[in-house]
Amino acid sequence: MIRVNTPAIAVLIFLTAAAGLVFSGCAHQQSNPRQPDMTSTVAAPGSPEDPNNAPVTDGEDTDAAGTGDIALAADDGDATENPDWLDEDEPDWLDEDEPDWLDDTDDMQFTATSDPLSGFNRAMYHVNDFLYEGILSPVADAYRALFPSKIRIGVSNFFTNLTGPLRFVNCLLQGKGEAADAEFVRFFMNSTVGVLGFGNPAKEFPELSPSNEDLGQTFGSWGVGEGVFIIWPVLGPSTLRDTVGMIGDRFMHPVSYVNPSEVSYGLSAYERINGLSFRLGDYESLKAAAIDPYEAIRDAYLQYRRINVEK
Amino acid sequence: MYTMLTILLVCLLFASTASAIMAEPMEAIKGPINDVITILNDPVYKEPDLVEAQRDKIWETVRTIFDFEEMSKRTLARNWRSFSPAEKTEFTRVFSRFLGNTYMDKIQGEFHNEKIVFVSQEIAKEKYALVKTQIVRETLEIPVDYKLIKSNDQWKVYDVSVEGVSLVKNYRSQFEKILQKEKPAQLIEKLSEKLKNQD
Repeated sequence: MIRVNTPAIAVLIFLTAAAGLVFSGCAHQQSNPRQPDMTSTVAAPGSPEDPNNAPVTDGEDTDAAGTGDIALAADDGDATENPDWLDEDEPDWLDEDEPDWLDDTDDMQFTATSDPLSGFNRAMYHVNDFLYEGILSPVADAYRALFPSKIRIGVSNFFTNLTGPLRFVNCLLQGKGEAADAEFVRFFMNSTVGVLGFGNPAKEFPELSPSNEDLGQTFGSWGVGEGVFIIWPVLGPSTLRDTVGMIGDRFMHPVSYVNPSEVSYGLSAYERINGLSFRLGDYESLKAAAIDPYEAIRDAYLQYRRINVEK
Repeated sequence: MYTMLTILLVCLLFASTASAIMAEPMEAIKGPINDVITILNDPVYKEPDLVEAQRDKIWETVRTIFDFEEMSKRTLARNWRSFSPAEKTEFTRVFSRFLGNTYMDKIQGEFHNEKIVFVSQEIAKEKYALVKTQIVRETLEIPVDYKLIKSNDQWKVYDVSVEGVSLVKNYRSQFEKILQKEKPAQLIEKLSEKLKNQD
């Protein structure tokens, strides 16, 4: 990608490399030929590790970063060798200047510690768990056994395509013009060439991949807080914000305009069973891997939603 | 002209060493992960009584890529300091076995020829790395990100995120809930019990 034969570029690269080595004493490297947008995360000279910066920062900061380094580099497998590395009230168990994908600056805060509805939620968790184990999972299992994946993929494409306009609107509301364009083209292509969305010809164009947007995320991108965490019977984990979003999305979902309402609910249930047929076992794994399954699901939901709001 | 040539040479030199460093973290997990898939596909292990042997083989392969102590520290976060040295060692031991068993059950029970795609890697501050991968399954592409730390010149995984959900963070909030009411010893006890039920 980099054309070294152009002298100007060569000089530039050389200077950058030299600057990196001289200023930070170490080369900060990363390689992302496929994801050039990540280049912004390269630690620039002048980061807190920069020796030239060190004298400027106050003693406490330097110490905190230093302690974190030692702690994380504890490589001999023996924690007892530096028992006092944590004995400070700073979030010093991690480097403070980690890039944002290390995102451990917020690690001292635990994912939403407050859970005022935990009593109700735990009860609903058990209700949903029972519904899943007793009805959803066996039905999806039988469904998967009956229908080859080709058909199920077609159905999945159909429902994904139906919600294209919904994602289009949410992309627009979040100011994501390119993603909105992609949704528009994708919807048009799959509805026509893809025969009402059962086919997915747009798959050949990676730039058209659906953007997984909904109203809850739109509110989030506007800065609306999550509100309390709620587990709804049947519908599952949500937050106050996402619940309002879910209701709004429902108005944009073609299936909710199907009459009579029994058929509408039936279609929604079918969409869910079909979707589940690709993910059977995932919930069981999550549960098996948890010491406190309710807490695990709550944390997973909140983490997942936060990641998607950020995107 | 000569100066230009020298600069060019120096550039190329830098470029090559840089790429050698860059290749590291992804290579560190790529080998073992591909080995695990080979073991899973190995017809030798089709016999039901060899399931245990296959499990051991996978575990031996995969355990080398993880830094379980780093994982334990990050999972317990500020609670780590309330653990005695003995409890720290015991917790790390039990937690790693628990994670191992869970992982084994999952991949042994549910491997359906999914493909693993190694997407990209990023290095920060020399000793942290993020390797992005994808599990490709029927209609789904499940993003799995590995966070690595370099210690003793080796890249080791300290966190895995599936669809953006970090394993370390997920356990952190569970353990935090437990440790609000109970002592470290009781958490270790709970984990050990769960471990027993797995076997």
